[in-house]
Amino acid sequence: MSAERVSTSASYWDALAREHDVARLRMLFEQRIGEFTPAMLPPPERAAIVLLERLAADGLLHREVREPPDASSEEEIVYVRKLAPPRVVDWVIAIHGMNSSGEWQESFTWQLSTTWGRSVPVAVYKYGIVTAGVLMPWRRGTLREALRRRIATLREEAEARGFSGRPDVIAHSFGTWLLGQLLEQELTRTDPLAFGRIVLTGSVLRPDFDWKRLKDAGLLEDVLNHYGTGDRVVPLAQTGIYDSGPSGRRGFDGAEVINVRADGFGHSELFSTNELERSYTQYWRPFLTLPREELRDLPEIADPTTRWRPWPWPLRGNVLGLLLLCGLIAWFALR
Amino acid sequence: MRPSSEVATLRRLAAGIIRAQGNRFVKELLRAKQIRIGANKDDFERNLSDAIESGQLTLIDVEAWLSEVEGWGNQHVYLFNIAPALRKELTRPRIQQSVHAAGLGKLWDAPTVLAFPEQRQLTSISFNDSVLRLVWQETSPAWVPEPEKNYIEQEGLDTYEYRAYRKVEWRAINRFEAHVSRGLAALFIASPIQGSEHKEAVLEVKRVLALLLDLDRLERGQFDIPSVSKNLDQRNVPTNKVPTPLVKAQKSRLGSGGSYVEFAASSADKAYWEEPAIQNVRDSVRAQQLPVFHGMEGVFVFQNGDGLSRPLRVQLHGKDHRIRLRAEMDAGEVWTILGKLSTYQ
Repeated sequence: MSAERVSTSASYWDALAREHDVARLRMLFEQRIGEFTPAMLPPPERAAIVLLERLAADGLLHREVREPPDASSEEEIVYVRKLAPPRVVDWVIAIHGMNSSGEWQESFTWQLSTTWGRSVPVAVYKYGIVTAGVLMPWRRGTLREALRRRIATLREEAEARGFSGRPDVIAHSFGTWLLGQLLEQELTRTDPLAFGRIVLTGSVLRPDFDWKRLKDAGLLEDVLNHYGTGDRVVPLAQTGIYDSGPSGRRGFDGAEVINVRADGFGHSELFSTNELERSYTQYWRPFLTLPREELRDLPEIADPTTRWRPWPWPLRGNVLGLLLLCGLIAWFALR
Repeated sequence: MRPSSEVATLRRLAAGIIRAQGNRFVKELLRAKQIRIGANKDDFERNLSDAIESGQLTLIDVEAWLSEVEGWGNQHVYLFNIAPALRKELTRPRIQQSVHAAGLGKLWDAPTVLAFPEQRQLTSISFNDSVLRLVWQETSPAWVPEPEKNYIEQEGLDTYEYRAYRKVEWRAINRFEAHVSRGLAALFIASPIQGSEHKEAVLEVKRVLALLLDLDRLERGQFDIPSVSKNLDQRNVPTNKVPTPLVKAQKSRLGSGGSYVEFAASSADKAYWEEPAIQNVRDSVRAQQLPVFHGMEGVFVFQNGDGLSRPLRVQLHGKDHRIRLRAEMDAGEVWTILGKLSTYQ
């Protein structure tokens, strides 16, 4: 079979729509259907055949004559598209951010459970509202270890209930930092936790975070970083958390992460009532299910054009603490 | 006093009707005319013949009855939506004009009850009560065993047994009907799908229709049976809101690309979802996932109620957009079923 073109542009369909009724075929294409017969398209049959032949001529489908299954049947002409099989989502972990109880996790869980069809369990991890705690390294360490224990328990429970695959993760804000630190710790363990695909939003991980080392160690498959260029929170992360950075506003450097840009979006805007469904259906769900070779076909991919430079190390993670300290001294001096 | 030719015609009709029509409809005719019914087809025929001889049953009675039951059910149907633009074409004066222009004037409003053509033949075109009707008839002989006429003969040392069969004639009927006010048209083909006869019959109907109306426009309105089949299945899976749907899906084959999944009950009277474990699996296909599926094949039983006095089975074939009506039905039942199917587009 000759290689077919896999993706089609909107302009291709628009041009075709001037001569044919393409709505259903286009929808089936977008849903990654791999084989077509005239019966799958609206009647009359001859119009369906003309349309399928057109796509075959354009290199999008390959025409095949299928042998009849028995002597009483006739041979059948089918139009085939060579596609890699979709990826399977087994179960999902949702981790929220700081200064929040993660209301978005409920909406996200509802989206996932009502649109997937089959059961895709979502483990919602909550660690409570943490504000000042993120400034304290020991508190961050405690939170990371608590997350590790919870995921290890979930892994055992999931396996016992027949979910033998790796969990995918969606994390927001400080949750992305916890996950990143947890993964780095896993490199040193003999029975590490391993994950499938990871969706980051409002990420406060360093833009030069070493995803390659984690991938090479088999701790995860792929990462989607959905960043908002209007996020005013993530640039502040460096002021209070030593090993952090504004990846949720400008993307990760290097080729390991799929950076998807949301123009003008604020820190939690992707989870807003208006945007959650769109974020989920257009970006996150396709990211979780597309075969790896098609991940780069996701819309709005935009990698940073310059390399990120961290602040000088004395300032990293200390600015906010120093300001607070100065404030306290001034308060005591002036009272 | 009735002419003897009418009696002969009626007797000929009676013999064929009894063999071709379901017992249910023959009984209805006998009951309506207060003729003794009997227990089996032989009884029906004897009682029908007696009623014809005595004048209790007339040609008008039989004609009215036949128009309701002959050639309805046990057939293949291709269903069409009549587009508004096509509706404008479908008026009695326009059709009558087209019929005459096509040289088919002698068939206009022609009665069909006495026609027994040897080959398939268009025998009538009419337009009454905003329904365009075209009827093709073909006489098909059938042989019915008559054991009382069997006999054995001895010739020398050999014994011969002669078994008697009586020739009866019934008519295979193909028809096209366009119910303009309902916006539905249907092509009914009696020939089995196997072999070339079925395709030839469809082509013949379309050839004639092309003389009378815009065939291309009609064909563009053809029912998308794969969609009807999957919708019929999906909307009749029990929910806590509708725990006993009015349609039972005995079988539903849902295709997507080059693969399919089939849900089916082993028993013809049962819906596949009556088994809880199968229903659990079926529930994973929600309406939202349905667009990527097409109904390749389905067998559905419409339960009595909502216009039907008995359960009726319908088979849908997605590949050729064909509906198969298995049971003997009357015209009212057929159009009720087709009307119901039209709500699942």
